[in-house]
Amino acid sequence: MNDFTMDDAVDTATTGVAPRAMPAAAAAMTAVTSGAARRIGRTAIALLALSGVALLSACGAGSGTEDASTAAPVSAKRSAAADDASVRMARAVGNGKPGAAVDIRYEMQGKPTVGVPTELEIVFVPSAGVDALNAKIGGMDGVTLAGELMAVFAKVEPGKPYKHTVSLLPDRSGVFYVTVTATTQIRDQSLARTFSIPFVVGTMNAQQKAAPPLDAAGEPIESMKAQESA
Amino acid sequence: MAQPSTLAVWAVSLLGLLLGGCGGGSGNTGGIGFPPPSESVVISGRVTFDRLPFNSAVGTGLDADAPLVSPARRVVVEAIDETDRSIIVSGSTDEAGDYSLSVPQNRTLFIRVKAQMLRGGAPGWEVAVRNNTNAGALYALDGSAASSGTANSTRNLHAASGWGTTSYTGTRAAAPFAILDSVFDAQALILSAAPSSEFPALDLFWSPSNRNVVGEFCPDSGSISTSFYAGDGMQDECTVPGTMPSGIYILGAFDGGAGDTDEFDRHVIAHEFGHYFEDRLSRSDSIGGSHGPGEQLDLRVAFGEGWGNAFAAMALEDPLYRESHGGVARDFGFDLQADSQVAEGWFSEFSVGEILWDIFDDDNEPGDDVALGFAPIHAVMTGAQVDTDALTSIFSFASALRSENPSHGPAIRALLAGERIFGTDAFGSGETTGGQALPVYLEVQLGVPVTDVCVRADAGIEDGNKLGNSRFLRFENDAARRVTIRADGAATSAAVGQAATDPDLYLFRRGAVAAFGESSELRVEQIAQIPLEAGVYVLEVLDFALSSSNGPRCVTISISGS
Repeated sequence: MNDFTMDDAVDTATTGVAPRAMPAAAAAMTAVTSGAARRIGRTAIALLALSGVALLSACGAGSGTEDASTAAPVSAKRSAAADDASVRMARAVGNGKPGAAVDIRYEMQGKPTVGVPTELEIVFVPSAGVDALNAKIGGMDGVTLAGELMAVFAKVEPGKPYKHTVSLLPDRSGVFYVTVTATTQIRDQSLARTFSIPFVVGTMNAQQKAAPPLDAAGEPIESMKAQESA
Repeated sequence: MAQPSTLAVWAVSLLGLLLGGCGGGSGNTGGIGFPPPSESVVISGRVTFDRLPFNSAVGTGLDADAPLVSPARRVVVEAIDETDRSIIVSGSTDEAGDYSLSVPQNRTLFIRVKAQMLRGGAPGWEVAVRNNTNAGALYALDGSAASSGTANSTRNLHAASGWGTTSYTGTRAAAPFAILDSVFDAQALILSAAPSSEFPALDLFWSPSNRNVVGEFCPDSGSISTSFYAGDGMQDECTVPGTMPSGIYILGAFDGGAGDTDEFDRHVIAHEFGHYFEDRLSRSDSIGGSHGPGEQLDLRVAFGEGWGNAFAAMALEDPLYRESHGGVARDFGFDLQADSQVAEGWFSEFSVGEILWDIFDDDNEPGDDVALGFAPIHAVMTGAQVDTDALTSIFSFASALRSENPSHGPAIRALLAGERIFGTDAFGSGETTGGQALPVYLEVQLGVPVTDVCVRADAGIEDGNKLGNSRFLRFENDAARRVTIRADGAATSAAVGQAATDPDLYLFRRGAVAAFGESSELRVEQIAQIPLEAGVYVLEVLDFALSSSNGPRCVTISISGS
């Protein structure tokens, strides 16, 4: 597994965009259009499913083609992009829990610094069908937030950006998150989704995590102390 | 709640058996019947965990100050030698959380309870809760080391929530066991219909660092976007991207009372288990992506998510889905027993969820004369739904359910009609709800082009999983042949739409992709000369360039072949 580094957080600390917060689509959306993100997901599903077809064929359970694996990338341009396809292959989108129908983006007016207020602009983009939305903004130990920490948009239009700005004041170095809980209203139904906006204060050195200890069967274990009684 | 038939079966590890055979320890004494060696003593006890329950009023979150002390059911328990850390003997708790291990006398040891349920054979399962931010380490609750002495003794172990007065101040040891406990209930539902079920291995990944970090997706660092199920082969977006382990990922960051933690949200866990069930024991053609009740979704997504919601309600025997957020302070919920009337139809996860729940439950409110329980639902999900020629949707499910339960056919139809679903077969033939997304499937025949196949973004475009983002065509191939499939960007009039500039094609045979075309060529896509066996295929059409501001986008579909 890969260790999280402070550099990772720095890279995303200035601006960001959340494509309704679904796995794998996130990074794709920062770099490409929404359509591209869709294609990445589709390709993943297609190629993963194709492998399933091949397996079915091997089992005699029937398949769509005599040789699905060779039939797949048929258009010239697509075939020429075989390497690209392999990169895209497994970027399927996960099946997540129900959540608010809203994207958020954000921008910080500079790098957060100890003792210096920094403005954070949050942009909410409601999806189709959303009638209203509100958002509660929270900080954490080490960061003081100022401004209106509850954003209320009584009537919204899908796809239109709604902006809200708060100020954050770090009192020490570290990795922090501003947490935004957006709640959308679709007729009488409200749903929430929580977003974490990351930022780094000061310079953080990447720290190597110690590997968890193994038990006698070779299983990595995270030990937690029990409350024990006789 | 029906429970598995093997309630008191003790799983003895191979190591335990070997040690017992050598006289160095014993298996446990809970039911298999290994007599304890004369030099042995029995350590028994109960394993419990704190469950933070929801406050009675929806919206008010969890009652962290009044945890329910709950039995850790059927979890792995080990006696560990303090000196060399060897596993002396292994067993498991029963449904009351009780365990009993036979161990050597005067051995300094501690009791370890793993967040793991193990059972080989049929029924069988292998479920574990792991920390994705700690190299996938398995959570374990450890007691204190002490001599086993010369007489039988009791060691009760409790996993505390870690809650202080206003926030978590201690180790959140209860979380992995609360998650496992929800899986226990979900498995029990399956076993009530199929007592010999063999569940493929399932890992659940939870960490206090799991949060939805905007713009990041790296489970190793806790950036998991949301609680979700990942099948095989999904890649992360870490600095060095890699294939992430399949399983259920669960949010856990409290973040000073602003975060979203899901370990006590039983419906969330069971919902995701429902996706695992579909993936491993049934079939799902869902393309995943963001969703919520009230949205108009791709029919595959609507069924998958409605299934998840309904499965959770069935497993927990509670149609009120609740999910906490704001630390533990708030929650939202929706009731599948109530008729929400929001965006009703075959594209609504609400409609699907309400229908499935009404099929299952015993209540017969007006419009609901069905009370089949879970077994017929399970039969369809593991039978006809797997083999359907159509995409998996409420149509394929309901069609099979009617076919397999003909005496309930009219009542099932009435239930669907109550959600404005009128399609008469697996392909939704005759459906009248859905406006521009109708018919659910167009028909395409060899040598007969179909014009004005249009995709649109009226219901949204996020993740490409909203109603109308794709169109589907049914193609019945009456003989094995090579075919060429083309999509040409075109619309017969400006009133219909505009020509699609970057169409894509996916051809499915019973949910598996038989072929696809994704080139970037302007206004055309082609899948050339592919060999197809005889059978029914589904062709999905979309436009890569569709956006919220430019639909509808149309193509002409043609299939040629010898």
